[in-house]
Amino acid sequence: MKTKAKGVRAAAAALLAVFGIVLFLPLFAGVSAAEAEARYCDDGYYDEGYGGEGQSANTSYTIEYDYYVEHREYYVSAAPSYSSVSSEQTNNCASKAGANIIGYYDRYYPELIPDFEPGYLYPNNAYLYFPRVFQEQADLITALYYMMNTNVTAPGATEQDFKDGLTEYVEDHGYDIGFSSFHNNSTSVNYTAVQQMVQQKKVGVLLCDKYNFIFSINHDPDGTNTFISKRDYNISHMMMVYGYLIIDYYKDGSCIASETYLQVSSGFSDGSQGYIKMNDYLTIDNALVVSIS
Amino acid sequence: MKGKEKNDLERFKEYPQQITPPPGLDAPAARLTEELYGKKAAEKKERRARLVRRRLLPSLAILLVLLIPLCIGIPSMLTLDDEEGNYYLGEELTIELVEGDITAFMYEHGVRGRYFEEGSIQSSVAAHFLAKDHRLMFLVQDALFLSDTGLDTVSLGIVFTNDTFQQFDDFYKMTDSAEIAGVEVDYKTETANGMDVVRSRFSYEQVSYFLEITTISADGVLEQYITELLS
Repeated sequence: MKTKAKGVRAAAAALLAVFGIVLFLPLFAGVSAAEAEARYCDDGYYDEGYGGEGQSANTSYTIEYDYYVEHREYYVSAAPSYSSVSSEQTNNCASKAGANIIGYYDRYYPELIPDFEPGYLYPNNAYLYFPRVFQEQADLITALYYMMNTNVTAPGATEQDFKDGLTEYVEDHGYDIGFSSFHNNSTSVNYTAVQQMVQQKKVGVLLCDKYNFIFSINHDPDGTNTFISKRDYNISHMMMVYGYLIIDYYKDGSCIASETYLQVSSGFSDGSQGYIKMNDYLTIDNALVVSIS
Repeated sequence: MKGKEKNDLERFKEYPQQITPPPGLDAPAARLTEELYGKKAAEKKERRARLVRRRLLPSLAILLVLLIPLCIGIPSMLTLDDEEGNYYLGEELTIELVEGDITAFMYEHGVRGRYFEEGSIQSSVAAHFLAKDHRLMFLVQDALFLSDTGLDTVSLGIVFTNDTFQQFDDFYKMTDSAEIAGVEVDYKTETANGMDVVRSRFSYEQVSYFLEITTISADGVLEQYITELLS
């Protein structure tokens, strides 16, 4: 009798264990998957007016030299850089990166933003993208914010949210979209791929776990030093990339520093445009060329 | 009660005369009483008062002469520091597009400032608030104007506080200055993408302005837009 009762208890325990695994395993798997997927501009807040830029530290520096040489072969002179439209749209770097990409391509594919000109071609053949002055740009940012499921399950948006939302928008407007990599490692990119991107008049997106941002590179008029206004940021972020610049600094006949800067539209609330310095405070999760046709 | 206390004190002073002190203590007691309440005590009091009058009062006067300016000056210096304001990064601010009448919006927030009310092809105004307390810090007007040489892109920062902002970092280290429409203007001109970019900084009616004009030719644009703004 005792043996039989023990057996019944063991069987019941085994059945409960199996039941529990079957019932709860998907939940745990789901949570784990969500935790594993990076969310961009996630500073932990859904609202309270946080833009998802995280905390930053001032890491500006000055380089002293005899002379410098700039390599501008793949430097792009104009690209959109839209700022925020509403304090209610927080943690929204994905939608602003997407809006900058759409705004860029609208010059060549006008139905991306119907009845809208993203910029102006001057008589000297310089093309200038407009700042965010039109309602169409504000509407675009808002549309992408929702298409990318920003702040839906957690603060910010994932890489997949970004791609899905951008794809939905582009295809809704009658165009095709594709993504290819220009990723190299955590602190640099594949420059050959970037060169091709620039030559083909395309743009890309950089997805970082942490990053630096250079607001300006100020060469002193007397030509002996350069002040680089830079901050390091401690949260995930994504930005549109559109070109790059290399500056070599020389002193006493030798190259003392060679610095490579990716040109980016920051996606910050104020729409700053600047650079990401390679091989610096930076963890690149992915780097994608976005092709629209 | 005060009268009673006085009587008690008088009785205490006369106490030595009323009792016979224990043997051996009468002389010290008498001396102590004399020191505390007798003629010697009165003389000692007078000497002390003279000392205060001769030495301490002048010293106190000198101290007051030194302290009063400090008491006035230190708070003033602290006030001046506050008046210089704080430096705010972009991440410390939130942005709202201003919809509707700009003048009414400024009035609702208790501020006043100049902006380009007419003449532009397109214009938008964004309000920048301090995230922690939603205090309006500045407006930025972006506008497009059609000029004789083509399209001018104008960005005007209208700052209502004494604080400084990362957004306007490029508006310092100016190379030139001029008086335009009665206002002292600091400015610099750079070239980018084949265009002239003129950045200027000035104050008018206790509001700070940061004006950036991107144009095909910088000749006369600063005078044109500042005069238009302040007219």
